[in-house]
Amino acid sequence: MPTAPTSSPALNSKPAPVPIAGDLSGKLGWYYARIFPASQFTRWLRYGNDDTLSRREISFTLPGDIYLRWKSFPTPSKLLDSLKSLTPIKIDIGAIYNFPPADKNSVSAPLTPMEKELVFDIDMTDYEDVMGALAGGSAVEVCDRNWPYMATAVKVIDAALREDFGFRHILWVYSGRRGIHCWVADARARRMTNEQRSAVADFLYLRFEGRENAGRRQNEVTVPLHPSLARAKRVACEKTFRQFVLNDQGMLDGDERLRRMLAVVPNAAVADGIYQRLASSAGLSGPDKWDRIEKELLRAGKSDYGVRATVDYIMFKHTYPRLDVNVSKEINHLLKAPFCVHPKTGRVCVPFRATEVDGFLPGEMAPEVGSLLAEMKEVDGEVRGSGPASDLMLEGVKVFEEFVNAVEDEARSAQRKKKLEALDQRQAAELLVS
Amino acid sequence: MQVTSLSFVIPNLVTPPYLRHSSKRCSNLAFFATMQVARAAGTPSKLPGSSSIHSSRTAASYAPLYLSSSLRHIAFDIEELEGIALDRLKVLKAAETARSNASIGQRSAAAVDAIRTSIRAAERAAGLNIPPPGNPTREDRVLKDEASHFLLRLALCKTHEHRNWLLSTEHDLFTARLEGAGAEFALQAIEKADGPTVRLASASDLERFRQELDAVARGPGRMKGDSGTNYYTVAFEQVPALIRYRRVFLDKGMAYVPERNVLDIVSSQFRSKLSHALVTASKAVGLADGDQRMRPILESIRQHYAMEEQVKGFDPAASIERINLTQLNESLPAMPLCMVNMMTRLREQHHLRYAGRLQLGVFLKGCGLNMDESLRFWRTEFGKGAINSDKFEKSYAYNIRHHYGREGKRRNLAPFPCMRIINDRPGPGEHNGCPYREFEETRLKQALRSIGTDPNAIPVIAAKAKEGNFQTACGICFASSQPGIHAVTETGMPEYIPTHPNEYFIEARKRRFAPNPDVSMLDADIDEEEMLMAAAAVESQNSDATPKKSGSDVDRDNEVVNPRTPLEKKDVNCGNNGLNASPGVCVPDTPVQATAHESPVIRKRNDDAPELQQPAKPANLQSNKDIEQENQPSTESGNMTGADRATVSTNKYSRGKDGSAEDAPASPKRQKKAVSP
Repeated sequence: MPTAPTSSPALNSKPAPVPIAGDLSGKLGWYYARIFPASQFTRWLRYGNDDTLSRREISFTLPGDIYLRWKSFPTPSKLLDSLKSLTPIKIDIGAIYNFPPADKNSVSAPLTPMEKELVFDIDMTDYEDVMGALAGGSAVEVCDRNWPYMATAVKVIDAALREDFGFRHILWVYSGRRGIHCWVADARARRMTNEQRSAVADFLYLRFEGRENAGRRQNEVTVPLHPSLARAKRVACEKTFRQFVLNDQGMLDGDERLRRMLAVVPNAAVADGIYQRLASSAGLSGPDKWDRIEKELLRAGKSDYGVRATVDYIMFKHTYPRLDVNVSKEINHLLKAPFCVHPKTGRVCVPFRATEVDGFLPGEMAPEVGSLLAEMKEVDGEVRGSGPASDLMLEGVKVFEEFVNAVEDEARSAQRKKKLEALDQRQAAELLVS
Repeated sequence: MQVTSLSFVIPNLVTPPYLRHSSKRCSNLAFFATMQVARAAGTPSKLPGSSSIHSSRTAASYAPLYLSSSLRHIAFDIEELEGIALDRLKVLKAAETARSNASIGQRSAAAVDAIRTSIRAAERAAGLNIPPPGNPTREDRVLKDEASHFLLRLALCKTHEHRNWLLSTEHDLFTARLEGAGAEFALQAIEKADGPTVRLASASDLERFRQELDAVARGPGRMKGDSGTNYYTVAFEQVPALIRYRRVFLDKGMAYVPERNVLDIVSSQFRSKLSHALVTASKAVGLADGDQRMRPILESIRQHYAMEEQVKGFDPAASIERINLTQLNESLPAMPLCMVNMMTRLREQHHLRYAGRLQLGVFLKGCGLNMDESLRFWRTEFGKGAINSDKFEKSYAYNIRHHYGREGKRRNLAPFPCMRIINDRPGPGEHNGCPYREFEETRLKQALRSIGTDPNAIPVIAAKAKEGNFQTACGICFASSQPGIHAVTETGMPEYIPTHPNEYFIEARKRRFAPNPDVSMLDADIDEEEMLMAAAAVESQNSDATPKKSGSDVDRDNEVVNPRTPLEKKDVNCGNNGLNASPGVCVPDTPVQATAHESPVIRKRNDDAPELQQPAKPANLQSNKDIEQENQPSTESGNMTGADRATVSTNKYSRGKDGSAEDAPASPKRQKKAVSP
């Protein structure tokens, strides 16, 4: 995977011989002009005034992997013009800086990031070691089949963000191929320092050893569980583990998988005993096998804390969200914007509701740019889309709009409060003078 | 005697006394600087009379937040000022050492105690500890403490590295001083610092969240006796350290902090205030540097800081031991386990994930590979797998160029020190990080065997790793896998503890190839017998062909396949010097073999000089033949960038062999000194 550079010159002048599949560039021209929810998009980035938008770093990836960083736009219309003329295959959103990043070479002061949404990135590739029967195929197929992992991640992180941290303005977006993004736009989240971001990310992150390091058990999964982890187990992980991991993925089917699952039991004798007992009962279903394993582990765990904690550890290892924490830890890290079109799949990165994540199967719910364009018709002198893909798009825009409205409300009431305070001070000063 | 006033550094200044006896020009400048610095120090100018000392002082503790100062109208002798600043520097250096000696893997209460105890001891030794109120020296000490703090703040605010160092060591000093202070003190300090709102949690909240608070309190790694304690609520942003390790219960953005952790809120305040002040100070420090009385002091502090850094740390620029691509293979045995591990993985899988590429990439850069060589290295290794040259250019070359500062921010990335590697933990499928931290015991032992570590030392290394003393474990591995004499401390631990993989590499290469036998002879206490054997070894080195010249033929001759060790899966190069021809010697795993292992192997060579060697030395690593084959012809034809250097290095290398006593066998006396379990 190419890793997005932490920074780059304004223009990577590398020649771009790579042709784009089909005529994506042409399609994108239409897409940005007619379908892209421009007004909601810029309303979000303005947070109530153009000044905020103008100091926001926005970067484009142009066909041929030409990467333009440090762009910024003084007004919404400048941004939209640029989208239409450059037709980027990817838009990344960075931080709000102390002055417009586009001026960074003409201003002598250092460019310092002031604010950015708290973001999370979860990618299906990080789940490969816990995929069983449903592994294999192209990236998109893997994602479509294994969506329950993502659904579990959304439920767990969404609940933690709301209940543990008290955030309210949370946007979930399908990344267009095999992952999901999360934007937390509360004013309080936007102002967090790197240290605070990294603390929150670590709080929401569990470390599981790779197969290479199997055996070194981590002590993050404790008995009793931290309330946040207990809630994760309650709201999603346990159910996903039994129904999806054990049944659909068949993670306990066959000797090798059974052994692999038991490899994390810190006491080899206990693990071996369980293995022997289960090896003889091949006819059992996955969840039934797990019931036995759990019983055995809890019994052996009466005198061994490590063994006792293994029960939840295994369950979390297969279900707990695997965040790419580096994306969340730094205020200046860029993240792909919602409503981009993924150049490899043609799928639009649509937002979805956390409460409806189970029903959001990307293969069916993410509109494809080709279908969207095919559905466009001229109605009453206006070009509009209608049809199944357009309906999906409309749904995504609706979710987005609700988010943007809420964010704008917060920004507006903050401004009002500020004004009142200023007024109070002035009145107080006048009183003093008189 | 030149006299200056600390009013210069510190605010609360109304009329700077030094103005009276300074030249006009200087005083104007200095006065301006004072005001700037006053702002820089993050201190609001306060009216005379208000002082942090009196209110933040309690009978139990003296832990100033340095938000303001009591230094007003006090003249100091310039030399005295410099002296106290350097005293504080010593204390902070001690804090740094204490932290790096403590086991990082465990954040146990014992480890924290150990750090604090050594900081307090250093404080006393430097005369910076503050006696309890009533003691006649207290006022003096307080002034000394403040003066030294503000001076270091000014001296070490210029670079990011300095600021971070000062921030973390001052923070450690602060928390050490805070120990034993009660919640009452903490709450007062927070209020003084204009800190966050901290409220005592109500009985009804405690009742409502009884189960959750109990679950947090009972987890391991948390202290007993939290039940029945008071809880304070504070915005979660204020206690990042507690959030990170899930040490607190969170509800709707409020953290429920047990009473004993309220001090953490204060230290987090200290940190953020100081961090802010340092950044601001860095913008104004030029003015202080322009003052003829201040500059020598500040420069002296910086020099002392840097001097000790050089002695202790690793300076990539100063490295003379640079290698080029053709020397990479022969240098493998000199690499620390973390790098050996990634090299092996890379050669097995022909791929490394981003974090691994970064860690190994900057390490190789530190070893001396230039950008072209690095690109060639990675392209060749990736090319053996599914990544062709085209894909490499598109997806990976940027990364490598970035390591050399040719892309992006154009920052020349420095090779990572151990602390960073230890803390950069690998995810599934990644191979970066510190093996002593990441590997489970069996795997660690196996890896150690495969690089030819003395089998007797392996259990000790594994035990150290398990305790969380990763660098010590690495130090023992160094002592028991690299040739030569290894000095030990009274506790039986090796004197040399690596703090940087490139430093390890250079030390190991010195031992293997150094021109000067004294370079790594830390132990001066060598008896005659040893000298004789060393001399024999020197002679033997004369005859010992430059390892890489023997080329891949020798490698093939010595191929050993040992299924026990993962490092040896494919064509194994059993020692580049052609020394370890027998698999039993390479990978001893029985006591009998181990004994044989310790006795020197003596062979006759062409010129009749006996060859002495320590068999444990070379690692059994798969050779990178493709790269060699790719490079060697170009070396000969002389059209390669590194060709000249290659020749030079080879010569030096042979000279090194000539003069080296490092490969002398271990005499009984040395064995006693060397690290052994």
